[in-house]
Amino acid sequence: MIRKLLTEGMDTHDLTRLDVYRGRGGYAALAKALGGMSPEDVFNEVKTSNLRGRGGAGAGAAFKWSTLPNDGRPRYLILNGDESEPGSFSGRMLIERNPHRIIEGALLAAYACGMAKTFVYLRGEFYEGYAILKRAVEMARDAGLVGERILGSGFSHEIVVHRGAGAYICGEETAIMESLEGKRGHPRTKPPFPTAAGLYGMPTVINNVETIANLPGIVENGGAWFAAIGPEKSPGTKICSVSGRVRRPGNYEIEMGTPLRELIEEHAGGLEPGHELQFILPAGASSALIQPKDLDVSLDFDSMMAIRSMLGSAGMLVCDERDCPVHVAYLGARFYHHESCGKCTPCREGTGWTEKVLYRMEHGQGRPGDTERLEQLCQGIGGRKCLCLLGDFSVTYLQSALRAFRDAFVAHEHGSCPMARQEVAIR
Amino acid sequence: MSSNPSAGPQAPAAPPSTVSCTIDGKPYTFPRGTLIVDAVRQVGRPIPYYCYHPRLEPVGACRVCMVQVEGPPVATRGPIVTTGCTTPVFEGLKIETMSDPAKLARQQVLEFLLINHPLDCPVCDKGGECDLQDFTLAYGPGKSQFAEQKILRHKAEDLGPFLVLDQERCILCQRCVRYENEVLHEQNLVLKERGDRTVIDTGAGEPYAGYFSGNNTELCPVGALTSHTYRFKARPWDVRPVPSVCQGCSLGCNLTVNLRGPKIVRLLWRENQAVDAGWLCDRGRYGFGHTLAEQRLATPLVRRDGELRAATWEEALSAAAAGLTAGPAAVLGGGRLTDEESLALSQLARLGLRTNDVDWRVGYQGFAAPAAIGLSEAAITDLDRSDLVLLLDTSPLEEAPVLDIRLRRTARRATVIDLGPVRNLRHAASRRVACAPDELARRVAELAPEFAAAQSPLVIWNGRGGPALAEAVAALGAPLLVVGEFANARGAEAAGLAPDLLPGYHAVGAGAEVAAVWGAELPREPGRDAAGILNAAASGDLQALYVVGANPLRSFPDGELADRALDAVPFLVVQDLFLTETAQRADVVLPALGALEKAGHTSNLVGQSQPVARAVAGPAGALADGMILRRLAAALNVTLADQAPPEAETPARVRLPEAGGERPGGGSGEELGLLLRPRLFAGGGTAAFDPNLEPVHVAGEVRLNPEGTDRLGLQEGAAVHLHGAGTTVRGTVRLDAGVLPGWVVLAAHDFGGNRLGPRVRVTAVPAAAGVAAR
Amino acid sequence: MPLDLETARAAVARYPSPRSALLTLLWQAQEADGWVTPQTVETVAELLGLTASDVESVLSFYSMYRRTPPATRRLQVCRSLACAMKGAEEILEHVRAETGVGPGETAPDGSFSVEVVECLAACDHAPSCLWNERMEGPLDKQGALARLRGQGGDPA
Ligand SMILES: Cc1cc2nc3c(=O)[nH]c(=O)nc-3n(C[C@H](O)[C@H](O)[C@H](O)COP(=O)(O)O)c2cc1C
Ligand code: SF4
Ligand code: FES
Repeated sequence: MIRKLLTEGMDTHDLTRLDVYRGRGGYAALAKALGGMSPEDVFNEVKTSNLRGRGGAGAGAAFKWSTLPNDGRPRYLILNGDESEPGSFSGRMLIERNPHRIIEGALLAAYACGMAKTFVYLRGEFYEGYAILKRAVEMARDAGLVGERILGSGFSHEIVVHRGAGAYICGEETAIMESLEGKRGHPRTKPPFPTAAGLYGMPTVINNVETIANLPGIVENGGAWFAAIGPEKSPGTKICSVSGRVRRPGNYEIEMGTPLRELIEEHAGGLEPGHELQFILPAGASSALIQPKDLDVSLDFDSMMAIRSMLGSAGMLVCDERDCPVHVAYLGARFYHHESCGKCTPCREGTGWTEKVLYRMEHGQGRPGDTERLEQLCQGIGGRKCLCLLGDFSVTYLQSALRAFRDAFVAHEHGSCPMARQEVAIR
Repeated sequence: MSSNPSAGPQAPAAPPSTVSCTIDGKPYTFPRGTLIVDAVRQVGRPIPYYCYHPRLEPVGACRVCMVQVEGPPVATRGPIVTTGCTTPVFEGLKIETMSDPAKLARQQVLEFLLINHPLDCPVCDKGGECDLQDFTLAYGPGKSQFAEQKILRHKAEDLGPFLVLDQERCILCQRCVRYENEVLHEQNLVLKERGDRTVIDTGAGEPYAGYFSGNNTELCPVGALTSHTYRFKARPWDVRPVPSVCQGCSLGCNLTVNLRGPKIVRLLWRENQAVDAGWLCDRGRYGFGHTLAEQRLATPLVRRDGELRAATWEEALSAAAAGLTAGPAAVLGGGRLTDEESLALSQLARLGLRTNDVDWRVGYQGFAAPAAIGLSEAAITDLDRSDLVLLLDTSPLEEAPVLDIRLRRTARRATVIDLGPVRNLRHAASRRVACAPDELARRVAELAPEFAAAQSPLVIWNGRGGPALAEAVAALGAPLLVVGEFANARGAEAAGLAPDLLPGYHAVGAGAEVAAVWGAELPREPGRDAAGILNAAASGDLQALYVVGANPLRSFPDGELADRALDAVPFLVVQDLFLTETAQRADVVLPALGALEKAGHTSNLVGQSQPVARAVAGPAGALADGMILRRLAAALNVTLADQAPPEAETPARVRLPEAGGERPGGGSGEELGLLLRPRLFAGGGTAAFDPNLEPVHVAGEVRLNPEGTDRLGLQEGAAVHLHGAGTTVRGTVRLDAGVLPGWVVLAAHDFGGNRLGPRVRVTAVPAAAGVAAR
Repeated sequence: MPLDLETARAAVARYPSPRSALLTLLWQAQEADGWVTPQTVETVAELLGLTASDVESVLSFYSMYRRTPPATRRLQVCRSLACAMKGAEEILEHVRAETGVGPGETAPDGSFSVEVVECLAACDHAPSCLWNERMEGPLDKQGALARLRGQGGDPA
């Protein structure tokens, strides 16, 4: 079921304008919080709401905040707007079309947790989003919503919009901190976790921009209101990015718990005419594929886990019978090979090797044993052997494809493709 | 977990300081926080690792140290494999190093590491001591499944005078770049690009610029960073290791000499935390080339008909004995001898030549031990805890480089004041106080309140500057580290190679205990110091001069005096490795063996006497200084006692020579004050004759503050003449903002600088002037 | 026009540690000069108290900094999953066949360049591209050629 909490008004109004955003009730939650709620009150509403992170793992937002040590050191908030997972494009829409909602959410989180500063980390390719969000922060500052003594209260807060420069890994929570510190985006070993020692070694919370955009609604209407939307353990809405072989690719904000079938067949318009669903990557290139038999799964964190996949960022890539699972695997492998940061061995070497094997298989040069080789490669890279999760991400889809479409891989060993793809060699 | 983000967790009761866990089934106890890799190593179990290094921060990059762990805090999920280098031991943890999942994980990592490796082991200098070879043999797959094209990269890239980089062999453990960052606080090597395109390289392709490049070759677990000097020289099983001590400077870093047959092929670190923290500098590591240098003196020389001609040892020694006893004689040098040899020279002067005219201080250093000026001594490791350090007109980087590494660590947490006319601490000075030499004492006095307030202050000084400065330092009340100008300045002073000291810091004239050991009467009148000796020689009061391992023509601050003295003295004996400027003036030249060519002890800057073994033979015709002294003593009818006299209960103080005349430039603005300051690769001793050091040898370097150089028409790299005291010396401009404006700095011991007097004019060499004027 | 020092210092002031402004300063310089010049590396290093090597190391990690002067018209085509499925590679192949300029190459006269990039978060407009740093899509063969040939007008 479509339910617009974050995208409400976006199609009809220019919410990037502060007056428009405010005219539609924007910054009311902030005013409410600063006007009579204590930071603890705000925190408790978020806790009651049971809001879970929209950036991937679905960690409880309030839980993460609660692990901040209370030792008087400055704390930082990082909003993760790196959005580089192939297939995910909901954050970009929020940034470009509803920036004040993100700013308001950041201010609420910062108020609740006593943050010294917020850094919004946008991927470098968001030229437009960067300009829009920066302008929005300036507008908010001019209106007394950002900076010193916000809305005349005792609360002051600064928001810095920061740009990356082309690196998927900088969406990873510790790499983002390295990058923000002006270094190569190499993930750090954990522990310590960011809430204990993050940016500049200080306690740091990192949340996805969509997670944060939920806060104004929660503060305004109460955590209980939010908790009542959708399934008990995955409340709220999720903006799903649907792309690939559907009639209407785009972002759809649905209530959690909506069946995947409804999203694909109704909202995204179903498959392109004359074609048939073969599989879906539900959380971008790094998720285990979903086969048509599981199309009735409910879109929430736990139901997706139950079918060995994940909701993650809900970047849904829909593939039909023209899309050979081996080709999709090759495209994914090429991506991960390009994006591996190179710090740890299995990912650095393994992603390159995987791409080379799949490249051959895709170009009619498969060899007997390649399928098994890929299985071994997945085992060598995956299973938490890498320093960060990129390694595991790089094999998740491949492993699921090897399970579901092993025959297709074996056929490629012998130079044939069941989908008879005409591959174009790009080098 | 607290539900309130602003109410912190309750402070838990302090956890016990040790934890118990099992490793491969056996129970052990470790201090809390011990990393699994260290725990496994400590109990003697094997564990492979590349990125981990005990002297670097863990990064968890290579992933080869995989072990299986089970128990808290991972109890819920059953056993998992994880990296031993980033996981500490926990109470109750079960660690399995050889379980199947751990073995498989390591095997796969090793297979990954080899896919883009060139496997050029036959031509790799690391062969036989390569961790990639060894761990692959022990834990790797027998066979690679990789059948694709390898990534090709730069091979045998020349990174400057010492380092060779092979990017294909690199396994990206990042030890080198972490060493550069964490230990040196430099970035001579960095990571570039990303993913499997990542390479190690210098910044913009320029050569490696620092003083500590060679440590990278030992940190590198594979053959990616190797040394020019060791290239294709040996396999590790060909070499014989001999433990030794570096005598390139007064710090005395511990090292291991590697010999193949009779030749030194390389020097390796031999970690001694209290001295060198495990590191070597490039001068120490690569400065062994002089052992085989062509110019080494291999036969005694005696002057006949105005020419130095080859002679037998008998001829040379009897000529020397005759000349040295023909009238009043004096002795200069000793700072490059072993402790035993210094003692022998001291006896020979007192008993053979019957004089106290003996001095090791042929350079700028006025004393060697803090006790010699009545101060207390700091330990090297005090730097690890001191909160306030005064660096007094001294450059550890140039004078005792590995000490500078420790100081960089200190400067991260403590205040380090760099006081003097030249900035010395390049990487980490927390406070720079620039002042002219004649202001030093006053500026030191100003620091007294700060020193009084400090918990554990410390002064680092090279002993230059005279009694007034020494008094100011004493008033600070802080212990002192004295960086020596010569490797064994400390041993020379302790042996009484000074006009007012006897061995063991007994005062001349109060040497009953010394006389008892030596079994002879000693001359009782204090002698003359080096300047006094040279003055006496110049004015004809001395008949002979015996110079041992010293080159006053280069090192004595008043080079003009040294020149006149050597001209005037009727008889000169020089004992050295090379035919130095001083040796060329001699009547008898006695060829000596070098530091790695003789056995004995050498005292470092804190007076720690470290044994050195004889690693190589040296030229057949040369003798160890100790042997020469013994034979010369015999020719003089003196028997040298082996026993060292006991230490004096209260050490006698040495009389410090007045500070030499460093004076600011004249009013015209064209005249600059001249400073002679140590540079690591300068000098006329082994560095000048060492083929390994030739590319970095510093000669003719003229350092100037950029300020005002435009007016003088001088740019970086310009050829210039320095005029002073009727002498002209040629050099090359190096602009250095760390030099006090109005002054010019030349390297001490570089040729000619000590001939220019206190003030110089700098002029550009006219384009047509062509070759060097010196 | 090189890096404006005043803007640069203002950026530095926004962060708790100067080094954090590194990526931002490189962006500022690239926007001013079109690429990151060796001089920029020196200037930025000095401004932030870093070594040039350090800046080089960071710079080379990120794929969006240019190390050579840019072509006048720049087409960066996404080749990640959705866009590749929708024909990105066929477009690139077509461009190569028609102009002789393949991915990663610049026309000999410097008038245009073609690059491949990873997912632009515009999969709903696949095949998507950055056309002179503006997100556009869906791209087709004719559109790509027209852009490169300057038929849509050159960027400012
Ligand atoms: C390789 C990698 C890439 C990631 N990229 C993103 C990203 O682009 N955006 C994002 O929000 N989270 C990303 N994440 C997840 C973050 O690490 C982090 O969990 C998330 O931002 C937390 O926000 P949340 O709690 O609000 O979900 C990535 C994780 C990994 C391992
Ligand atoms: S898993 Fe990949 S991206 Fe993550 S640290 Fe290792 S090399 Fe870098
Ligand atoms: S795959 Fe191209 S924009 Fe996403």
